[in-house]
Amino acid sequence: VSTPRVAIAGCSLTPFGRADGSSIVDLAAHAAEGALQASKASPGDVDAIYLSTFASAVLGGQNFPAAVLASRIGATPIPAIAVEGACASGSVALKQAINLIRSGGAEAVLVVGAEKMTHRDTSAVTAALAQGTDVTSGGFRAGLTFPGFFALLASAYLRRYDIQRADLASVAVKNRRHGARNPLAHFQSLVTAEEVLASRPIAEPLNLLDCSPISDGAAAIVVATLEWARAHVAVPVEVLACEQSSGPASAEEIDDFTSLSAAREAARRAFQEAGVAPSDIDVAEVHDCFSIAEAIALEDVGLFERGTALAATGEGETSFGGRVLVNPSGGLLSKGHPIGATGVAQIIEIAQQLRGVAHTQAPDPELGLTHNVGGTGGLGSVTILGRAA
Amino acid sequence: MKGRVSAFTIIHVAGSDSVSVPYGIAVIEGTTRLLARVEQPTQLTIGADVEFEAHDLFGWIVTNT
Repeated sequence: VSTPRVAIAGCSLTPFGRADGSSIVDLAAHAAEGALQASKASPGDVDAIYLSTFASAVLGGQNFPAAVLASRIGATPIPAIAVEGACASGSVALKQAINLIRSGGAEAVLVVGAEKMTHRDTSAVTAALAQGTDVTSGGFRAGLTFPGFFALLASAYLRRYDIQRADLASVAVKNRRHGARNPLAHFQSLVTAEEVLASRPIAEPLNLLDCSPISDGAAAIVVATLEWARAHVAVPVEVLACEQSSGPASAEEIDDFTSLSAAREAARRAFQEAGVAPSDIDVAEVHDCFSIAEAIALEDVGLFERGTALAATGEGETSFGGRVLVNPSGGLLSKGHPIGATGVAQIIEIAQQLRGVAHTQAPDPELGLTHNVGGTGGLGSVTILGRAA
Repeated sequence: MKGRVSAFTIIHVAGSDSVSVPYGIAVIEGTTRLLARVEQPTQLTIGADVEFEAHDLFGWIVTNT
C-alpha cells in the first residue's frame, strides 16, 4: 500500500487584530466553517479536527477547546484534539493531520489554529508567553521575557557579524510594506526606518516596531489526500514535506545565539524529503516574531548565507523582484501573531500564493516554504508546498 | 564567580506591572553558560568580564561589572 500524497484543500482565516466580543472558540469556528465551505465540504466530510492554541486557558479562559469547537460547528462525533507547541502550535497541528492521513487513519482533516489575546493587558500576555520555555530555567527565574530572548539573539548576531542596529529596521519596513496590501493584516500602514528606530524600547536592541503585535485571530485549512482535494477544490496545493524538530527548551541550553538548531534540522529534513534545494524556493513565510527572527530564519533554512540576510533585506532581495519573496502576507510583524493561528496562517498564505490568488501575489511561484518556531527554539517546523502535478 | 558576557539585553517591558524596569539579562560564559539578572544594566557590554553570585529570587545576579 503506497503512502497517500497529501494536499491543502480549502482555507479560511479571520482578520487578525482585535476581535472584541468574540471568544477563542467563536474565532476558531468562523475560520473552520470557512475552510469547510471553501472545500465544498460539511463537518461530516472530515475525519478529525486538530486545534492549535497556546494559551486558550491562561489567556482565553477556555480549557478543552477542541471538543467545544467540534460541538459548536456540528462536527461530533469525530475526534477533536487540541495541540500546543508555543508559537509553532499551528505547525504541530498540521504535522499531526498529515501523519494521520499518511497512516491511512483519515482521508480529510480539519486543522484550525486560534488565539484570543487582546482582551488581556501587555504584562499578562508577556507573562503567559514567557512560559513557553522551561520555567525552572535560570533565564525564566532571572526575568527573561520573549522579547528579551530575541533581544539576546539580536545582540549576539549584530556583534558577530558587525552589523549596525539600524540595519535591523529593514525587516519591519519591508514587512509593513507587504502587510499594507493585506486586508486581513493587523497593521496595514507603512513605517519608515526612522520610525522603527525611534519607537520605544521593549528589550534592547529591539524597539516596539521590531516586535509582532498581540493579536486575536484564527486560521483553518482542510488537509486531505490529494485525491480528496482534487475532488473538492480547483487547485490543490501539495505538501511536499512537513518536518518538525525539537531543540533547546531554555536559553542557557543554546550554544549559538545567532541560530536556532531545531529550525535548521527541520529545514534539512524538509529539503531532503521534498527533493528540492533552498534555491528552488520562490516564496516563503518565516517566523518573524521579532525583526531579528526573520534574519535568523532565512539563514537557518538556507535561503541566505550566515550573516547576510539583513543586508539582502535592505537591498530588496526579500521583496518583489528580489531573489525570494519573504513574508508577502506582512509576516507576524504586520499581519499579527495570534499564537495558535500563526503556523496555519503561514500555510494559507503560501497555498494562496501557489494558487495565484494571494493579496500580495508573487509572480508565478512554483514552490513555497513556511518556517515556524516555538519557544526558545524548542520546536522548529519547516513545510514545503508545491503546485500539485 | 567570574565569567564573560556573550549576549545582553535591557528589558523595558516585564511580565508583571509590579516588576521594576528596566533591568538587564546577561548570558554569561563561565564554567558553564548561565543567565543572570543585572540590576544596573547600563554599564554592561558584550565581552565584559563580570562577577556574579546565586540569588534567591533571580537564580543568578551580576554583582560587579
